[in-house]
Amino acid sequence: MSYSSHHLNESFSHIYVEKSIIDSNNVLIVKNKFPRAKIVEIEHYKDVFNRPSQEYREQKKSLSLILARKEEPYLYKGSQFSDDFGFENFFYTPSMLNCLYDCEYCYLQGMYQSASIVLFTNTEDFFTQLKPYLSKPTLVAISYDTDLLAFDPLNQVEQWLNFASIEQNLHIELRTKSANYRQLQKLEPNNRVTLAWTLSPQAIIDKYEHKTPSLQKRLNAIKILSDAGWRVRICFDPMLDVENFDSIYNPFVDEVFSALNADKLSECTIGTFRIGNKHLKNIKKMQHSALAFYPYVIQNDMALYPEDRNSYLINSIKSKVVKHMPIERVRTWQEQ
Amino acid sequence: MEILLIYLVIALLAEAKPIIKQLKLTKTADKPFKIFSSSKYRLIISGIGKERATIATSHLLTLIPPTANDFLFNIGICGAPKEFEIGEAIMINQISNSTKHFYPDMLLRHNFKESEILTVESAQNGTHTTCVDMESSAIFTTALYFLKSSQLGFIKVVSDYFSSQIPTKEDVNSWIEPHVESFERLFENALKLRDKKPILSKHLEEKSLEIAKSLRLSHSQKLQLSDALKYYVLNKSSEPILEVPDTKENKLQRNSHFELLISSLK
Repeated sequence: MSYSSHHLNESFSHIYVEKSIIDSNNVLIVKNKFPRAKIVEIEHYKDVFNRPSQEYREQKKSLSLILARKEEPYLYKGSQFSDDFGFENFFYTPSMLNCLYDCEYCYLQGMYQSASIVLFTNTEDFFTQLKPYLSKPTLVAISYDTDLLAFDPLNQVEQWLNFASIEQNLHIELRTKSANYRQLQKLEPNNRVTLAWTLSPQAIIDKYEHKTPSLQKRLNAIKILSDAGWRVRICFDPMLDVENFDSIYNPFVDEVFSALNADKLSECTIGTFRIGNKHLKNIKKMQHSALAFYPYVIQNDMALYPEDRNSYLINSIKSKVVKHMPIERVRTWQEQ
Repeated sequence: MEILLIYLVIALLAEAKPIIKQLKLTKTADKPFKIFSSSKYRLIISGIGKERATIATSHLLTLIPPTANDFLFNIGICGAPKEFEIGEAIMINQISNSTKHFYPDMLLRHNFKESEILTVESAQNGTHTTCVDMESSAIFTTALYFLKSSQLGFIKVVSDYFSSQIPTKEDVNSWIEPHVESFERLFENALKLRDKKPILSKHLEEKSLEIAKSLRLSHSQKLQLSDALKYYVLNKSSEPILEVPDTKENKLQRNSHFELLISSLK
């Protein structure tokens, strides 16, 4: 849908800050990064974030930022929709809620009432709660209900990676569509940190992954970081069952593996779009994306592509990927 | 074509007069509340205080129920701390009453200063750290039954530094009048901001109803058809050509026709 953007405030023209942290260093850092922003003092982030009668789609046009102190819990068990990569301890941390990008298939728009980005400024409390688990190998997804590398005004990615360099049992997954390789380039690569890059054909990016970097930029970032020794997983996930799937996705796989050296990639994961049925129902109400109205099959409260179609999408891409990469390093979400 | 509306809730006729003049509104109702209208605007004079503001807002929004593209603004005078100048217009970004806080979405670009406001029961003497009025929280909570928080705007013009003295009509006019052109520009921008349209045209909705009747579709089949039509329209940016089938007595035939129709829309 088109709209008159010059009638809108620019994103982050307003920053809502919890009164209890208004004078903290982290809040000052963020305020300095947005010097023109109007600061609105609030009691609790939920007063703004969870208020009734909000419009996610309208708010997405001009994002607000909410700075808050996260209260316990700081860790959540990984979701059934995600790969735990065999780790007994698999957590995700909500250091930020919502995302700078605007992907039409994103479950966040069905999960939250607000499109405002909530940034929790007390990162050190997340570390404290995690420490007791670190006697065993533990995987923590730090970019879960957000894309932390895309928008990270407090350099939380760096804080997490520094923490991981000390804690030998801590494995980190940083999922992203960002092209922001510079933030990582200055850090020492760590084999327990996996940069999981979501890749999609440019036609899919243009149509459904609004405000995200182009495929070319993402490939460039991956190349620079994998050459520097970072462990990079590429994720063809979610793949969308679109018209002309074969002619869109087949050349895409070739393009990816001609740009990247497969030997320098840790894995390639392949998965098709799936979403909790409750989130899908909420997205349908927004009436803006064809993806919401696909005739999904509902199984265990999850909306999936019909089995035959799903198998076709996965297998056709997998058969192409294994020509570039040993099958042991190709994972499909379907197999879990 | 749908006519988009700006709803205006204003406590006093003296506050409204310069706006009525600028927007060229004519009186369309006198009781229980004075209402001034044009093709794009509906302005109601609520009277002072939360109770009157609640009833007037509800009355206005019930008379002509708003669409997803409409806006409501509350405009009026307020008391303010001395950091603001008398006659200065302020866009409100947080409204409080004695127990709660409310937040209109700050999506619309504007040139006013911003502040929070406290809605109180009576005119205030003494000092406050924020702006103070007697209607905002009531208008916000009432309007939220009809509109989303991104469809609401609150603009206040500073009349005093917390004095309970009643201003003259001439004073009120002199504070509001300099801002009416800015207000009008803001209203016009608000109308351009939103372009929510239903995915299915009226024609397609009607066709879909006819098909549902002819094929005796169940509730769940009707939803399936509606989703399939929306998928088609959003995906192809065009409308499918639908033919209403002849009534079929046989349930098997009806279901088979329905399945064919759904797969043709993929």
